[in-house]
Amino acid sequence: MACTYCFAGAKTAAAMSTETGQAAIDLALAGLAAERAPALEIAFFGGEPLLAWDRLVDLAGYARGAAERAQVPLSFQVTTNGTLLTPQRLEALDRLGVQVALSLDGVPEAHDAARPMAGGAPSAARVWDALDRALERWPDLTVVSVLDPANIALLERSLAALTARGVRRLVLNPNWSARWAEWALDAWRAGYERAAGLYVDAYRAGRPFALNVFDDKIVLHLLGPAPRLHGCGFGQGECAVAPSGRLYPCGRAVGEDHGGPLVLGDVASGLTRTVAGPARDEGSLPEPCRGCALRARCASHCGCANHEATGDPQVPGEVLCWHERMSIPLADQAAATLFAERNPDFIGRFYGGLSPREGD
Amino acid sequence: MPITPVPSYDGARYPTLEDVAAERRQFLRQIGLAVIAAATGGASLACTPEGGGGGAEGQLIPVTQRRATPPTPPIMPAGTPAPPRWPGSRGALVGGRTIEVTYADGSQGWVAVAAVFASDNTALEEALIDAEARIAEAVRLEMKLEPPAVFDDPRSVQRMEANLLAAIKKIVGVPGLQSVAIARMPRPVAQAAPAAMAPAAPVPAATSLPPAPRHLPRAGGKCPIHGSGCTESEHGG
Repeated sequence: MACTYCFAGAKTAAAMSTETGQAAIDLALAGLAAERAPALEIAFFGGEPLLAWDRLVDLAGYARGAAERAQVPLSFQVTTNGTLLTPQRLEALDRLGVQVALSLDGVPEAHDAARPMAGGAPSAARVWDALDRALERWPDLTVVSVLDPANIALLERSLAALTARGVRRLVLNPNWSARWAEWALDAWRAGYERAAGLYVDAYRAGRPFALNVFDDKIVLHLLGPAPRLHGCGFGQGECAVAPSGRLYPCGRAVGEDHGGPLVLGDVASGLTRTVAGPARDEGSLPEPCRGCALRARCASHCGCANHEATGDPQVPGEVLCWHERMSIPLADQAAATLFAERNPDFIGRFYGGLSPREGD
Repeated sequence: MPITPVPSYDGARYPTLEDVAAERRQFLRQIGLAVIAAATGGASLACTPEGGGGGAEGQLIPVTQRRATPPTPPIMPAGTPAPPRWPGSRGALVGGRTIEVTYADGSQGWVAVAAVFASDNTALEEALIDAEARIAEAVRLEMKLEPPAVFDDPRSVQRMEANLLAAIKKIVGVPGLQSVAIARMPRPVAQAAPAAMAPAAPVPAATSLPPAPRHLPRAGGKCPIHGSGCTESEHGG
């Protein structure tokens, strides 16, 4: 495909070699040996990882054996554009225990606005077909939708269509490096306002869906008032392996794998350097953020989003700041509404169940 | 459109988990009972080692042996925004064994007590381990006031657990103890099986799950289940 916003850059059909993949797995397991409760999660990522299907299957098998010998719990994840997700591969992924996330930006107009096939043809019909097949096998399939100026005006319709089709887990992944004009920000806000309505209505109807941009904000409120910054795994517990064998702090940082300041090492020599990740304590917050009342719930913990926007993993971009100021009150309004109604699904999901109060 | 700090914010008009601790007690108690059941065989408990889920997506995941295959909470897709860490609650059998008690009528018996706390609260975990003997003594004092039939009355059990929660909080002096569960045991269990570790069921979403339960290395730490020398990496130090 030729997605306009792809952070992997130009496509070179450079699949990772078996040797590099195995070395990466060995390196990860060796690094986990000193951990007290080690667990290894392997995410196959691209480009389109299913283009290297046989390699994926081989490496999954190798990892399974190596992890069993090392007594390390192992899990797999793959993010796919769905165009190669045949029934046979669905079955094979299921057998391998791979959790699948499908990239689908919404209604066909929204999806095709930024996710055409390599020749320019639309891809939405194929991916929606893949969605149906995947949901049949995995009702809790995760769908990843990139928010981009090209599709933001269709956000409400897209969310409505996806949830109506049965999607229960939605990850909205904003394209932070896009140029967001005023009209696009207005459309984004309007889309989120309507998304909040859909979110509440879905709970009321007994068919709730997970939506990261609201759920994460609610969770961070539930954890309490004490500011607890929540950094991502950028270079600390998370590592991306490029086909060349170079190591980066995050899948988004690989790009076209030209090396550069974010390279942490390679699979042969291991992690040879570190890079500063997102702020993980008050002291390392950028100056303008230190007095912000929303800092403990802010998504500025995403080192790669920050790096894309400002060139510094610790400094968030202006659009991200705007997004947080816009989305947190919406998440809170939705949550407060559902709590006030004592919505059983909401209470069960976020609070683990509550005893009835006097008078309830 | 510069970065614009928000000077103050009070728009979150729904309670935190701490705000509704009392209302969550029943749910948290299930985690404690699941721990006891998993550690002792659970023959005497209504709650099975499989526990009782609290919410729509909630489920307890007891760990009674090393997992060959981990539970499979959804993994955050690579390249998407990292979710906040959601530590969940875990329970540990206090002292790693049953406690012999004397009831008000002079008869003797055994009980098991589980503490429930956030799985990343290592300071509290350490404090619980260090205070094992004092906690056991507090349990004995509490039981000395009760008849053996106290466990037949749910309200009395609730009262005892509230008393023990307050007492243990005072003993350990480290914040974060969420709940205490107590159960009568038919016989002593000198060396309990590995106890359950359960993420607090509010598993909010695929998008909000932590990548996996992680426990920070604890220098000189003892296993909360087995004490010193435990080699079970699920919970040993």
